[in-house]
Amino acid sequence: MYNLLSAYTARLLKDKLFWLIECVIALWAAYVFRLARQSFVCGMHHISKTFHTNPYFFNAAIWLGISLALYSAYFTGTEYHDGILRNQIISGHRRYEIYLSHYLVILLAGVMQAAAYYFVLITADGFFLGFSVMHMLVKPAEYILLILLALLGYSALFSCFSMLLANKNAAVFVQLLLAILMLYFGFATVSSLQEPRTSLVTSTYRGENRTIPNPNYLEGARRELYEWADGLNPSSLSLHGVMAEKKGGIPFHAKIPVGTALLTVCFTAGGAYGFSRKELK
Amino acid sequence: MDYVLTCDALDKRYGNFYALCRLSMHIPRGAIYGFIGKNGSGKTTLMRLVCGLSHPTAGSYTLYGITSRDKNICRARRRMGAIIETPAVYLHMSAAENLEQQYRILGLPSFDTIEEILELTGLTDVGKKKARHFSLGMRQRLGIAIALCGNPDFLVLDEPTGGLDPQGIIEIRELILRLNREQQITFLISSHILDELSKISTHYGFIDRGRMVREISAAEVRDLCRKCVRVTVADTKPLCLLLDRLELDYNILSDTEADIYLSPPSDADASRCLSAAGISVTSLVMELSKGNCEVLSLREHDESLENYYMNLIGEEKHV
Repeated sequence: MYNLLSAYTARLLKDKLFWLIECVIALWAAYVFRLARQSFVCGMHHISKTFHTNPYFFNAAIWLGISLALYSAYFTGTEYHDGILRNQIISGHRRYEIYLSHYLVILLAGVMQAAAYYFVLITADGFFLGFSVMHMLVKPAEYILLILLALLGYSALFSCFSMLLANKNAAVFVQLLLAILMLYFGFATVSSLQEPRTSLVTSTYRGENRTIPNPNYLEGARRELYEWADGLNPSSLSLHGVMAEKKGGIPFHAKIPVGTALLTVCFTAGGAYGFSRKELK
Repeated sequence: MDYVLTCDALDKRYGNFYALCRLSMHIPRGAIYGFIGKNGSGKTTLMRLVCGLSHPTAGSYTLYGITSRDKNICRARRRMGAIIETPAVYLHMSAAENLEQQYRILGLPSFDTIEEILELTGLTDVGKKKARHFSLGMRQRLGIAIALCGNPDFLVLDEPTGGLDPQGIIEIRELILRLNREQQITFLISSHILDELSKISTHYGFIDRGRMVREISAAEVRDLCRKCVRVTVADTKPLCLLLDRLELDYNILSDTEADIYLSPPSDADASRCLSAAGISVTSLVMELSKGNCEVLSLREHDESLENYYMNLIGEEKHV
Protein backbone atom coordinates (compact mmCIF):
# COMPACT_ATOMS: atom_id res chain seq x y z
CA MET A 1 0.00 0.00 0.00
CA TYR A 2 2.98 2.27 0.57
CA ASN A 3 3.84 1.98 -3.15
CA LEU A 4 0.35 3.05 -4.14
CA LEU A 5 0.38 5.99 -1.74
CA SER A 6 3.74 7.04 -3.08
CA ALA A 7 2.47 6.88 -6.67
CA TYR A 8 -0.76 8.75 -5.90
CA THR A 9 1.00 11.43 -3.89
CA ALA A 10 3.53 11.95 -6.66
CA ARG A 11 0.68 12.29 -9.13
CA LEU A 12 -1.17 14.70 -6.84
CA LEU A 13 1.88 16.90 -6.38
CA LYS A 14 2.53 17.00 -10.14
CA ASP A 15 -1.08 17.70 -11.05
CA LYS A 16 -1.54 21.13 -12.62
CA LEU A 17 -5.26 21.19 -11.82
CA PHE A 18 -4.55 20.64 -8.14
CA TRP A 19 -2.10 23.54 -8.01
CA LEU A 20 -4.53 25.72 -9.95
CA ILE A 21 -7.15 25.01 -7.28
CA GLU A 22 -4.55 25.83 -4.60
CA CYS A 23 -3.86 29.17 -6.32
CA VAL A 24 -7.56 30.00 -6.54
CA ILE A 25 -7.95 29.16 -2.85
CA ALA A 26 -4.97 31.31 -1.97
CA LEU A 27 -6.43 34.23 -3.93
CA TRP A 28 -9.76 33.73 -2.19
CA ALA A 29 -8.00 33.76 1.18
CA ALA A 30 -6.31 37.04 0.22
CA TYR A 31 -9.71 38.50 -0.69
CA VAL A 32 -11.26 37.30 2.59
CA PHE A 33 -8.35 38.83 4.47
CA ARG A 34 -9.03 42.13 2.71
CA LEU A 35 -12.62 42.02 3.96
CA ALA A 36 -11.41 41.24 7.50
CA ARG A 37 -8.93 44.09 7.33
CA GLN A 38 -11.69 46.47 6.27
CA SER A 39 -13.69 45.48 9.34
CA PHE A 40 -10.74 46.31 11.54
CA VAL A 41 -10.12 49.59 9.78
CA CYS A 42 -13.79 50.48 10.36
CA GLY A 43 -13.34 49.60 14.01
CA MET A 44 -16.03 46.90 14.03
CA HIS A 45 -14.37 45.35 17.06
CA HIS A 46 -15.00 48.56 18.96
CA ILE A 47 -18.51 49.19 17.64
CA SER A 48 -20.07 45.76 18.09
CA LYS A 49 -19.79 43.67 21.26
CA THR A 50 -20.67 40.53 19.32
CA PHE A 51 -18.09 41.06 16.57
CA HIS A 52 -15.63 38.23 16.09
CA THR A 53 -13.55 37.01 13.14
CA ASN A 54 -14.82 33.42 12.83
CA PRO A 55 -16.82 34.14 9.63
CA TYR A 56 -13.57 35.21 7.92
CA PHE A 57 -11.21 32.63 9.36
CA PHE A 58 -13.53 29.66 8.89
CA ASN A 59 -14.91 30.82 5.56
CA ALA A 60 -13.16 27.81 3.98
CA ALA A 61 -15.96 25.63 5.33
CA ILE A 62 -18.38 26.90 2.72
CA TRP A 63 -16.43 25.78 -0.34
CA LEU A 64 -14.16 23.02 1.01
CA GLY A 65 -16.68 20.24 0.41
CA ILE A 66 -17.47 21.41 -3.09
CA SER A 67 -13.83 21.74 -4.18
CA LEU A 68 -12.99 18.33 -2.71
CA ALA A 69 -16.04 16.76 -4.41
CA LEU A 70 -14.91 18.09 -7.78
CA TYR A 71 -11.26 17.22 -7.35
CA SER A 72 -11.83 13.67 -6.07
CA ALA A 73 -14.16 12.93 -9.00
CA TYR A 74 -11.50 14.22 -11.40
CA PHE A 75 -8.58 12.41 -9.70
CA THR A 76 -10.25 9.01 -9.52
CA GLY A 77 -12.11 9.51 -12.79
CA THR A 78 -8.80 9.92 -14.59
CA GLU A 79 -7.61 6.61 -13.13
CA TYR A 80 -10.72 4.92 -14.50
CA HIS A 81 -10.73 6.72 -17.84
CA ASP A 82 -7.05 6.05 -18.58
CA GLY A 83 -7.29 2.45 -17.36
CA ILE A 84 -4.69 2.90 -14.63
CA LEU A 85 -6.79 1.10 -12.01
CA ARG A 86 -6.46 -1.98 -14.21
CA ASN A 87 -2.68 -1.67 -14.13
CA GLN A 88 -2.68 -1.52 -10.35
CA ILE A 89 -4.75 -4.69 -10.01
CA ILE A 90 -2.71 -6.50 -12.66
CA SER A 91 0.48 -5.42 -10.83
CA GLY A 92 -0.68 -7.42 -7.81
CA HIS A 93 -2.20 -4.80 -5.52
CA ARG A 94 -5.24 -5.85 -3.56
CA ARG A 95 -8.43 -3.91 -4.20
CA TYR A 96 -8.88 -2.73 -0.63
CA GLU A 97 -5.32 -1.32 -0.71
CA ILE A 98 -6.15 0.61 -3.87
CA TYR A 99 -9.34 1.91 -2.27
CA LEU A 100 -7.71 2.96 1.00
CA SER A 101 -4.86 4.64 -0.85
CA HIS A 102 -7.37 6.68 -2.81
CA TYR A 103 -9.13 7.64 0.40
CA LEU A 104 -5.91 8.80 2.01
CA VAL A 105 -4.80 10.81 -1.02
CA ILE A 106 -8.20 12.53 -1.27
CA LEU A 107 -7.88 13.34 2.43
CA LEU A 108 -4.41 14.73 1.80
CA ALA A 109 -5.77 16.86 -1.07
CA GLY A 110 -8.48 18.23 1.26
CA VAL A 111 -5.99 19.02 4.00
CA MET A 112 -3.70 20.77 1.51
CA GLN A 113 -6.60 22.82 0.17
CA ALA A 114 -7.56 23.92 3.68
CA ALA A 115 -3.91 24.53 4.50
CA ALA A 116 -3.50 26.80 1.46
CA TYR A 117 -6.37 28.94 2.69
CA TYR A 118 -5.17 29.20 6.27
CA PHE A 119 -1.55 29.72 5.35
CA VAL A 120 -2.34 32.80 3.27
CA LEU A 121 -4.82 34.13 5.83
CA ILE A 122 -2.54 33.66 8.84
CA THR A 123 0.50 35.04 7.00
CA ALA A 124 -1.40 38.12 5.82
CA ASP A 125 -2.93 38.55 9.27
CA GLY A 126 0.47 38.40 10.93
CA PHE A 127 2.09 40.73 8.43
CA PHE A 128 -0.61 43.40 8.18
CA LEU A 129 -2.67 43.19 11.37
CA GLY A 130 -0.34 41.61 13.90
CA PHE A 131 -2.55 38.50 14.17
CA SER A 132 -5.60 40.57 15.09
CA VAL A 133 -7.91 38.26 13.11
CA MET A 134 -6.69 35.25 15.02
CA HIS A 135 -6.79 37.13 18.29
CA MET A 136 -10.52 37.65 17.87
CA LEU A 137 -11.43 34.05 17.07
CA VAL A 138 -14.02 32.20 19.10
CA LYS A 139 -12.87 28.70 20.13
CA PRO A 140 -10.36 28.29 17.25
CA ALA A 141 -8.94 24.93 18.37
CA GLU A 142 -12.37 23.33 18.59
CA TYR A 143 -13.44 24.56 15.16
CA ILE A 144 -10.19 23.55 13.50
CA LEU A 145 -10.74 20.07 14.93
CA LEU A 146 -14.25 20.12 13.47
CA ILE A 147 -12.86 21.01 10.04
CA LEU A 148 -10.43 18.10 10.25
CA LEU A 149 -13.28 15.78 11.21
CA ALA A 150 -15.29 17.19 8.32
CA LEU A 151 -12.40 16.42 5.95
CA LEU A 152 -12.35 12.80 7.18
CA GLY A 153 -16.07 12.54 6.45
CA TYR A 154 -15.86 14.29 3.07
CA SER A 155 -12.99 12.06 1.94
CA ALA A 156 -14.89 8.92 2.95
CA LEU A 157 -18.02 10.01 1.12
CA PHE A 158 -16.38 11.24 -2.05
CA SER A 159 -13.90 8.36 -2.27
CA CYS A 160 -16.82 5.95 -2.08
CA PHE A 161 -18.72 7.55 -4.92
CA SER A 162 -15.76 8.23 -7.17
CA MET A 163 -14.38 4.70 -6.74
CA LEU A 164 -17.73 3.07 -7.46
CA LEU A 165 -18.75 5.32 -10.35
CA ALA A 166 -16.51 4.55 -13.31
CA ASN A 167 -17.90 7.45 -15.33
CA LYS A 168 -16.06 10.66 -14.45
CA ASN A 169 -18.96 12.92 -15.45
CA ALA A 170 -21.46 10.94 -13.40
CA ALA A 171 -19.14 11.10 -10.40
CA VAL A 172 -18.75 14.89 -10.76
CA PHE A 173 -22.52 15.36 -10.98
CA VAL A 174 -23.39 13.10 -8.05
CA GLN A 175 -20.65 14.44 -5.78
CA LEU A 176 -21.33 18.08 -6.58
CA LEU A 177 -25.02 17.59 -5.91
CA LEU A 178 -24.21 15.81 -2.65
CA ALA A 179 -21.84 18.57 -1.56
CA ILE A 180 -24.43 21.28 -2.22
CA LEU A 181 -27.19 19.34 -0.46
CA MET A 182 -24.95 18.71 2.55
CA LEU A 183 -24.12 22.40 2.69
CA TYR A 184 -27.80 23.35 2.54
CA PHE A 185 -28.77 20.90 5.27
CA GLY A 186 -25.68 21.88 7.23
CA PHE A 187 -26.77 25.52 7.34
CA ALA A 188 -30.26 24.48 8.41
CA THR A 189 -28.95 22.12 11.10
CA VAL A 190 -26.44 24.53 12.62
CA SER A 191 -28.95 27.41 12.56
CA SER A 192 -31.52 25.27 14.35
CA LEU A 193 -29.10 23.96 16.95
CA GLN A 194 -27.87 27.47 17.68
CA GLU A 195 -31.33 28.74 18.61
CA PRO A 196 -31.22 30.02 22.22
CA ARG A 197 -33.47 28.56 24.87
CA THR A 198 -35.12 31.96 25.53
CA SER A 199 -35.82 35.13 23.62
CA LEU A 200 -35.69 38.67 24.91
CA VAL A 201 -38.88 40.49 24.00
CA THR A 202 -39.39 44.23 24.38
CA SER A 203 -42.94 45.33 24.95
CA THR A 204 -43.59 48.69 23.32
CA TYR A 205 -46.84 49.06 25.24
CA ARG A 206 -45.34 48.99 28.66
CA GLY A 207 -41.68 49.68 27.62
CA GLU A 208 -40.35 46.68 29.49
CA ASN A 209 -38.17 43.73 28.50
CA ARG A 210 -39.34 40.21 29.12
CA THR A 211 -37.66 36.88 28.56
CA ILE A 212 -39.88 34.26 26.97
CA PRO A 213 -39.16 30.69 25.89
CA ASN A 214 -37.95 30.48 22.28
CA PRO A 215 -40.45 28.36 20.31
CA ASN A 216 -37.65 27.45 17.82
CA TYR A 217 -35.42 25.99 20.51
CA LEU A 218 -34.84 22.28 19.97
CA GLU A 219 -35.17 19.94 22.88
CA GLY A 220 -35.70 16.30 23.67
CA ALA A 221 -35.87 13.87 20.78
CA ARG A 222 -35.81 16.61 18.16
CA ARG A 223 -32.55 17.96 19.54
CA GLU A 224 -31.11 14.39 19.52
CA LEU A 225 -32.12 14.00 15.88
CA TYR A 226 -30.59 17.31 14.85
CA GLU A 227 -27.39 16.52 16.75
CA TRP A 228 -27.10 13.23 14.88
CA ALA A 229 -27.71 15.07 11.60
CA ASP A 230 -25.00 17.48 12.69
CA GLY A 231 -22.51 14.72 13.52
CA LEU A 232 -23.18 12.78 10.32
CA ASN A 233 -22.94 15.76 7.97
CA PRO A 234 -19.37 16.96 7.32
CA SER A 235 -20.67 20.28 5.98
CA SER A 236 -22.56 20.85 9.20
CA LEU A 237 -19.39 20.27 11.24
CA SER A 238 -17.33 22.66 9.18
CA LEU A 239 -20.03 25.36 9.40
CA HIS A 240 -19.85 25.46 13.21
CA GLY A 241 -16.87 27.81 12.97
CA VAL A 242 -18.39 30.14 10.37
CA MET A 243 -21.74 30.44 12.16
CA ALA A 244 -20.39 30.49 15.70
CA GLU A 245 -21.82 33.11 17.97
CA LYS A 246 -19.77 35.24 20.32
CA LYS A 247 -20.84 33.09 23.24
CA GLY A 248 -19.53 29.95 21.51
CA GLY A 249 -22.35 28.61 19.38
CA ILE A 250 -23.25 24.93 19.61
CA PRO A 251 -21.50 23.05 22.40
CA PHE A 252 -19.28 20.21 21.25
CA HIS A 253 -21.45 17.13 21.63
CA ALA A 254 -20.51 13.45 21.64
CA LYS A 255 -22.39 12.76 18.43
CA ILE A 256 -19.82 14.78 16.48
CA PRO A 257 -16.89 12.33 16.77
CA VAL A 258 -19.23 9.33 16.85
CA GLY A 259 -21.13 10.50 13.78
CA THR A 260 -17.90 11.25 11.90
CA ALA A 261 -16.46 7.87 12.83
CA LEU A 262 -19.69 6.12 11.76
CA LEU A 263 -19.80 7.97 8.46
CA THR A 264 -16.12 7.36 7.75
CA VAL A 265 -16.16 3.69 8.70
CA CYS A 266 -19.44 2.86 6.93
CA PHE A 267 -18.64 4.58 3.67
CA THR A 268 -15.02 3.39 3.62
CA ALA A 269 -15.92 -0.21 4.44
CA GLY A 270 -18.91 -0.20 2.12
CA GLY A 271 -16.98 1.47 -0.65
CA ALA A 272 -14.04 -0.92 -0.29
CA TYR A 273 -16.37 -3.91 -0.40
CA GLY A 274 -18.23 -2.55 -3.43
CA PHE A 275 -14.97 -1.86 -5.23
CA SER A 276 -13.69 -5.37 -4.46
CA ARG A 277 -16.71 -6.87 -6.22
CA LYS A 278 -16.74 -4.41 -9.09
CA GLU A 279 -16.13 -5.63 -12.61
CA LEU A 280 -13.51 -3.33 -14.08
CA LYS A 281 -13.63 -2.59 -17.78
CA MET B 1 5.24 -29.94 -18.54
CA ASP B 2 5.62 -26.70 -16.62
CA TYR B 3 2.59 -24.44 -17.05
CA VAL B 4 2.49 -20.75 -16.27
CA LEU B 5 -1.28 -20.64 -16.42
CA THR B 6 -3.90 -23.34 -16.24
CA CYS B 7 -7.64 -22.78 -16.23
CA ASP B 8 -9.93 -25.44 -14.87
CA ALA B 9 -13.59 -25.40 -15.96
CA LEU B 10 -13.90 -21.63 -15.74
CA ASP B 11 -17.39 -20.18 -15.93
CA LYS B 12 -18.33 -16.56 -16.25
CA ARG B 13 -21.99 -15.78 -16.28
CA TYR B 14 -23.78 -12.48 -16.80
CA GLY B 15 -27.37 -13.16 -15.88
CA ASN B 16 -28.39 -16.07 -18.09
CA PHE B 17 -25.59 -15.52 -20.57
CA TYR B 18 -22.43 -17.62 -20.27
CA ALA B 19 -19.47 -15.61 -21.49
CA LEU B 20 -17.24 -18.55 -20.53
CA CYS B 21 -18.50 -22.10 -20.15
CA ARG B 22 -16.32 -24.71 -18.49
CA LEU B 23 -13.23 -23.38 -20.19
CA SER B 24 -9.94 -25.13 -19.60
CA MET B 25 -6.59 -23.92 -20.84
CA HIS B 26 -2.91 -24.72 -20.41
CA ILE B 27 -0.13 -22.29 -21.25
CA PRO B 28 3.35 -23.83 -21.13
CA ARG B 29 6.24 -21.80 -19.83
CA GLY B 30 8.11 -20.01 -22.61
CA ALA B 31 5.26 -20.37 -25.11
CA ILE B 32 3.68 -17.77 -27.31
CA TYR B 33 0.09 -18.88 -26.93
CA GLY B 34 -2.20 -17.64 -29.67
CA PHE B 35 -5.74 -17.37 -28.40
CA ILE B 36 -8.06 -17.41 -31.38
CA GLY B 37 -11.76 -16.76 -31.56
CA LYS B 38 -14.24 -14.53 -33.26
CA ASN B 39 -15.59 -11.33 -31.74
CA GLY B 40 -17.62 -12.05 -28.62
CA SER B 41 -16.25 -15.56 -28.17
CA GLY B 42 -14.86 -14.85 -24.69
CA LYS B 43 -11.19 -14.06 -25.27
CA THR B 44 -11.16 -10.73 -23.45
CA THR B 45 -13.42 -12.11 -20.70
CA LEU B 46 -10.90 -14.84 -19.96
CA MET B 47 -8.00 -12.39 -19.94
CA ARG B 48 -9.85 -10.10 -17.57
CA LEU B 49 -10.47 -13.01 -15.23
CA VAL B 50 -6.82 -14.02 -15.24
CA CYS B 51 -5.73 -10.42 -14.58
CA GLY B 52 -8.09 -10.08 -11.62
CA LEU B 53 -10.32 -7.47 -13.24
CA SER B 54 -13.29 -9.78 -12.99
CA HIS B 55 -14.29 -12.76 -10.83
CA PRO B 56 -15.19 -16.21 -12.16
CA THR B 57 -18.68 -17.51 -11.49
CA ALA B 58 -17.32 -21.03 -11.13
CA GLY B 59 -14.08 -22.91 -11.67
CA SER B 60 -10.63 -21.65 -11.00
CA TYR B 61 -7.31 -20.86 -12.60
CA THR B 62 -3.78 -21.37 -11.42
CA LEU B 63 -1.05 -18.85 -12.03
CA TYR B 64 2.50 -20.00 -11.24
CA GLY B 65 1.06 -22.76 -9.12
CA ILE B 66 -1.13 -20.44 -7.03
CA THR B 67 -4.83 -21.00 -7.38
CA SER B 68 -7.21 -18.08 -7.91
CA ARG B 69 -9.00 -18.80 -4.63
CA ASP B 70 -5.77 -18.37 -2.69
CA LYS B 71 -5.34 -14.88 -1.21
CA ASN B 72 -1.72 -14.95 -2.43
CA ILE B 73 -2.85 -14.83 -6.06
CA CYS B 74 -1.97 -11.13 -6.01
CA ARG B 75 1.63 -12.09 -5.35
CA ALA B 76 1.62 -14.33 -8.44
CA ARG B 77 0.29 -11.43 -10.54
CA ARG B 78 3.39 -9.41 -9.75
CA ARG B 79 5.18 -11.66 -12.23
CA MET B 80 2.87 -10.70 -15.04
CA GLY B 81 2.02 -7.70 -17.16
CA ALA B 82 -0.98 -7.15 -19.38
CA ILE B 83 -2.71 -4.96 -21.90
CA ILE B 84 -6.46 -5.56 -21.89
CA GLU B 85 -8.40 -3.99 -24.74
CA THR B 86 -6.68 -0.58 -24.67
CA PRO B 87 -3.28 0.38 -23.27
CA ALA B 88 -3.61 1.86 -19.78
CA VAL B 89 -1.57 5.06 -19.88
CA TYR B 90 -1.92 8.48 -18.30
CA LEU B 91 -2.78 10.64 -21.27
CA HIS B 92 -1.52 13.82 -19.63
CA MET B 93 1.94 12.38 -18.95
CA SER B 94 4.87 11.63 -21.21
CA ALA B 95 6.17 8.11 -21.86
CA ALA B 96 8.92 8.41 -19.24
CA GLU B 97 6.51 9.84 -16.66
CA ASN B 98 4.12 6.98 -17.26
CA LEU B 99 6.89 4.49 -16.67
CA GLU B 100 7.98 6.36 -13.53
CA GLN B 101 4.44 6.08 -12.19
CA GLN B 102 4.41 2.35 -12.92
CA TYR B 103 7.76 1.97 -11.20
CA ARG B 104 6.32 3.68 -8.10
CA ILE B 105 3.26 1.42 -8.19
CA LEU B 106 5.54 -1.61 -8.34
CA GLY B 107 7.82 -0.23 -5.61
CA LEU B 108 10.92 -0.42 -7.78
CA PRO B 109 13.80 1.40 -6.06
CA SER B 110 15.19 3.37 -8.98
CA PHE B 111 14.28 4.66 -12.43
CA ASP B 112 17.57 3.60 -14.04
CA THR B 113 16.09 0.96 -16.32
CA ILE B 114 13.40 3.20 -17.80
CA GLU B 115 15.62 4.24 -20.70
CA GLU B 116 16.28 0.60 -21.49
CA ILE B 117 12.59 -0.20 -21.69
CA LEU B 118 11.91 2.86 -23.84
CA GLU B 119 14.69 1.76 -26.20
CA LEU B 120 13.36 -1.80 -26.33
CA THR B 121 9.91 -0.57 -27.31
CA GLY B 122 11.15 2.09 -29.73
CA LEU B 123 10.05 5.10 -27.69
CA THR B 124 13.37 6.86 -27.13
CA ASP B 125 12.58 9.74 -29.49
CA VAL B 126 9.27 10.84 -28.01
CA GLY B 127 10.81 13.22 -25.47
CA LYS B 128 8.28 15.08 -23.33
CA LYS B 129 5.38 14.56 -25.73
CA LYS B 130 2.21 13.73 -23.82
CA ALA B 131 0.62 10.36 -24.43
CA ARG B 132 -2.58 11.99 -25.67
CA HIS B 133 -0.63 13.15 -28.75
CA PHE B 134 0.71 9.66 -29.48
CA SER B 135 -0.44 7.64 -32.45
CA LEU B 136 -2.26 4.37 -31.75
CA GLY B 137 0.89 2.38 -32.46
CA MET B 138 2.94 4.49 -30.07
CA ARG B 139 0.32 4.11 -27.34
CA GLN B 140 0.32 0.38 -27.92
CA ARG B 141 4.10 0.34 -27.54
CA LEU B 142 3.88 2.47 -24.42
CA GLY B 143 1.33 0.01 -23.04
CA ILE B 144 3.79 -2.82 -23.69
CA ALA B 145 6.57 -0.76 -22.09
CA ILE B 146 4.44 -0.32 -18.97
CA ALA B 147 3.62 -4.01 -18.96
CA LEU B 148 7.36 -4.75 -19.12
CA CYS B 149 8.13 -2.75 -15.99
CA GLY B 150 9.28 -4.96 -13.17
CA ASN B 151 10.63 -7.68 -15.53
CA PRO B 152 7.54 -9.82 -15.82
CA ASP B 153 7.88 -13.30 -17.25
CA PHE B 154 4.29 -13.59 -18.42
CA LEU B 155 2.58 -11.06 -20.66
CA VAL B 156 -1.10 -11.03 -21.54
CA LEU B 157 -1.81 -9.04 -24.69
CA ASP B 158 -5.35 -8.54 -25.89
CA GLU B 159 -5.26 -7.88 -29.64
CA PRO B 160 -1.93 -6.03 -29.52
CA THR B 161 -1.96 -5.25 -33.25
CA GLY B 162 -5.51 -3.96 -33.33
CA GLY B 163 -5.76 -0.73 -35.34
CA LEU B 164 -2.07 -0.69 -36.27
CA ASP B 165 -0.68 -0.04 -39.73
CA PRO B 166 1.43 -2.78 -41.42
CA GLN B 167 4.67 -1.24 -40.14
CA GLY B 168 3.32 -1.14 -36.61
CA ILE B 169 2.16 -4.75 -36.84
CA ILE B 170 5.62 -5.87 -37.94
CA GLU B 171 7.27 -3.94 -35.12
CA ILE B 172 5.03 -5.41 -32.46
CA ARG B 173 5.50 -8.90 -33.86
CA GLU B 174 9.27 -8.56 -33.86
CA LEU B 175 9.22 -7.17 -30.35
CA ILE B 176 7.21 -10.15 -29.11
CA LEU B 177 9.55 -12.63 -30.77
CA ARG B 178 12.57 -10.83 -29.39
CA LEU B 179 11.24 -10.75 -25.83
CA ASN B 180 10.31 -14.43 -26.03
CA ARG B 181 13.70 -15.40 -27.41
CA GLU B 182 15.94 -13.17 -25.28
CA GLN B 183 14.05 -12.95 -22.01
CA GLN B 184 12.02 -16.18 -22.19
CA ILE B 185 8.83 -14.27 -21.57
CA THR B 186 5.66 -16.36 -21.94
CA PHE B 187 2.91 -14.69 -23.95
CA LEU B 188 -0.84 -15.08 -24.09
CA ILE B 189 -1.98 -13.17 -27.17
CA SER B 190 -5.53 -12.95 -28.35
CA SER B 191 -6.37 -12.06 -31.89
CA HIS B 192 -8.72 -12.74 -34.73
CA ILE B 193 -5.99 -12.00 -37.31
CA LEU B 194 -4.88 -15.59 -37.88
CA ASP B 195 -2.15 -14.72 -40.30
CA GLU B 196 -0.36 -12.63 -37.71
CA LEU B 197 -0.65 -15.24 -35.00
CA SER B 198 0.52 -17.99 -37.31
CA LYS B 199 3.84 -16.14 -37.71
CA ILE B 200 4.67 -16.08 -33.99
CA SER B 201 2.63 -18.59 -31.99
CA THR B 202 4.04 -21.79 -30.60
CA HIS B 203 0.69 -22.94 -29.25
CA TYR B 204 -2.92 -22.21 -30.08
CA GLY B 205 -6.17 -22.21 -28.20
CA PHE B 206 -9.36 -21.98 -30.23
CA ILE B 207 -12.36 -20.58 -28.42
CA ASP B 208 -15.94 -20.37 -29.59
CA ARG B 209 -18.99 -19.19 -27.66
CA GLY B 210 -17.12 -19.30 -24.36
CA ARG B 211 -15.82 -22.83 -24.79
CA MET B 212 -12.29 -23.99 -25.57
CA VAL B 213 -12.72 -25.97 -28.77
CA ARG B 214 -9.15 -27.19 -29.06
CA GLU B 215 -5.68 -26.58 -27.76
CA ILE B 216 -2.90 -27.57 -30.06
CA SER B 217 0.75 -26.81 -30.60
CA ALA B 218 1.99 -25.01 -33.68
CA ALA B 219 3.92 -28.13 -34.73
CA GLU B 220 0.73 -30.20 -34.67
CA VAL B 221 -1.09 -27.52 -36.67
CA ARG B 222 1.69 -27.56 -39.27
CA ASP B 223 1.37 -31.33 -39.54
CA LEU B 224 -2.37 -31.09 -39.94
CA CYS B 225 -2.13 -28.28 -42.48
CA ARG B 226 0.62 -29.82 -44.65
CA LYS B 227 0.35 -29.40 -48.39
CA CYS B 228 -0.79 -32.64 -49.95
CA VAL B 229 -2.52 -34.28 -52.88
CA ARG B 230 -5.87 -35.69 -51.89
CA VAL B 231 -6.69 -38.74 -53.98
CA THR B 232 -9.94 -40.61 -54.24
CA VAL B 233 -9.42 -44.20 -55.38
CA ALA B 234 -11.51 -47.30 -55.75
CA ASP B 235 -9.64 -49.00 -52.94
CA THR B 236 -6.91 -47.65 -50.71
CA LYS B 237 -5.26 -51.03 -50.09
CA PRO B 238 -3.26 -51.16 -53.34
CA LEU B 239 -2.63 -47.44 -52.82
CA CYS B 240 -1.00 -48.12 -49.47
CA LEU B 241 1.18 -50.87 -50.91
CA LEU B 242 2.37 -48.63 -53.70
CA LEU B 243 3.03 -45.64 -51.47
CA ASP B 244 4.97 -47.82 -49.03
CA ARG B 245 7.04 -49.13 -51.92
CA LEU B 246 7.72 -45.56 -53.04
CA GLU B 247 8.50 -44.61 -49.44
CA LEU B 248 6.12 -41.65 -49.41
CA ASP B 249 4.29 -40.09 -46.48
CA TYR B 250 0.56 -40.47 -46.61
CA ASN B 251 -2.53 -40.50 -44.44
CA ILE B 252 -5.53 -42.74 -45.09
CA LEU B 253 -8.74 -40.84 -44.54
CA SER B 254 -11.22 -43.55 -45.47
CA ASP B 255 -11.57 -46.70 -47.64
CA THR B 256 -11.41 -44.55 -50.74
CA GLU B 257 -9.58 -41.39 -49.78
CA ALA B 258 -6.04 -40.58 -48.80
CA ASP B 259 -3.68 -37.62 -48.52
CA ILE B 260 -0.24 -37.89 -50.06
CA TYR B 261 1.98 -35.20 -48.62
CA LEU B 262 3.72 -32.66 -50.78
CA SER B 263 5.52 -30.76 -48.01
CA PRO B 264 7.71 -32.20 -45.27
CA PRO B 265 6.40 -32.67 -41.73
CA SER B 266 7.43 -30.51 -38.84
CA ASP B 267 10.11 -32.98 -37.84
CA ALA B 268 11.65 -32.14 -41.19
CA ASP B 269 12.14 -35.55 -42.74
CA ALA B 270 11.88 -34.05 -46.17
CA SER B 271 12.73 -37.14 -48.14
CA ARG B 272 9.32 -38.69 -47.79
CA CYS B 273 7.31 -36.07 -49.65
CA LEU B 274 6.42 -36.12 -53.31
CA SER B 275 8.37 -33.04 -54.29
CA ALA B 276 11.59 -34.16 -52.60
CA ALA B 277 11.22 -37.69 -53.94
CA GLY B 278 11.21 -36.27 -57.46
CA ILE B 279 7.91 -37.94 -58.35
CA SER B 280 5.44 -35.91 -60.36
CA VAL B 281 1.70 -36.31 -60.02
CA THR B 282 1.52 -37.70 -63.56
CA SER B 283 3.98 -40.48 -62.80
CA LEU B 284 2.20 -41.18 -59.53
CA VAL B 285 -1.11 -41.70 -61.30
CA MET B 286 0.59 -43.91 -63.90
CA GLU B 287 2.15 -46.02 -61.14
CA LEU B 288 -1.22 -46.35 -59.44
CA SER B 289 -2.81 -47.37 -62.70
CA LYS B 290 -0.14 -50.04 -63.28
CA GLY B 291 -0.79 -51.31 -59.77
CA ASN B 292 -4.54 -51.72 -60.56
CA CYS B 293 -5.48 -48.83 -58.37
CA GLU B 294 -8.15 -46.80 -60.12
CA VAL B 295 -7.82 -43.05 -59.44
CA LEU B 296 -11.26 -41.45 -59.33
CA SER B 297 -10.21 -37.89 -58.47
CA LEU B 298 -7.19 -35.94 -57.45
CA ARG B 299 -6.78 -32.42 -56.08
CA GLU B 300 -4.16 -30.38 -54.28
CA HIS B 301 -5.05 -29.72 -50.69
CA ASP B 302 -3.48 -26.91 -48.70
CA GLU B 303 -5.11 -26.20 -45.40
CA SER B 304 -4.19 -22.89 -43.93
CA LEU B 305 -4.64 -22.04 -40.28
CA GLU B 306 -7.72 -20.10 -41.36
CA ASN B 307 -9.28 -23.15 -43.02
CA TYR B 308 -8.35 -25.29 -40.07
CA TYR B 309 -10.04 -22.81 -37.73
CA MET B 310 -13.17 -22.54 -39.90
CA ASN B 311 -13.44 -26.34 -40.13
CA LEU B 312 -12.95 -26.60 -36.39
CA ILE B 313 -15.63 -24.05 -35.58
CA GLY B 314 -17.87 -25.58 -38.19
CA GLU B 315 -17.54 -28.98 -36.49
CA GLU B 316 -18.20 -27.37 -33.12
CA LYS B 317 -21.45 -25.89 -34.39
CA HIS B 318 -22.62 -29.32 -35.50
CA VAL B 319 -21.79 -30.96 -32.19
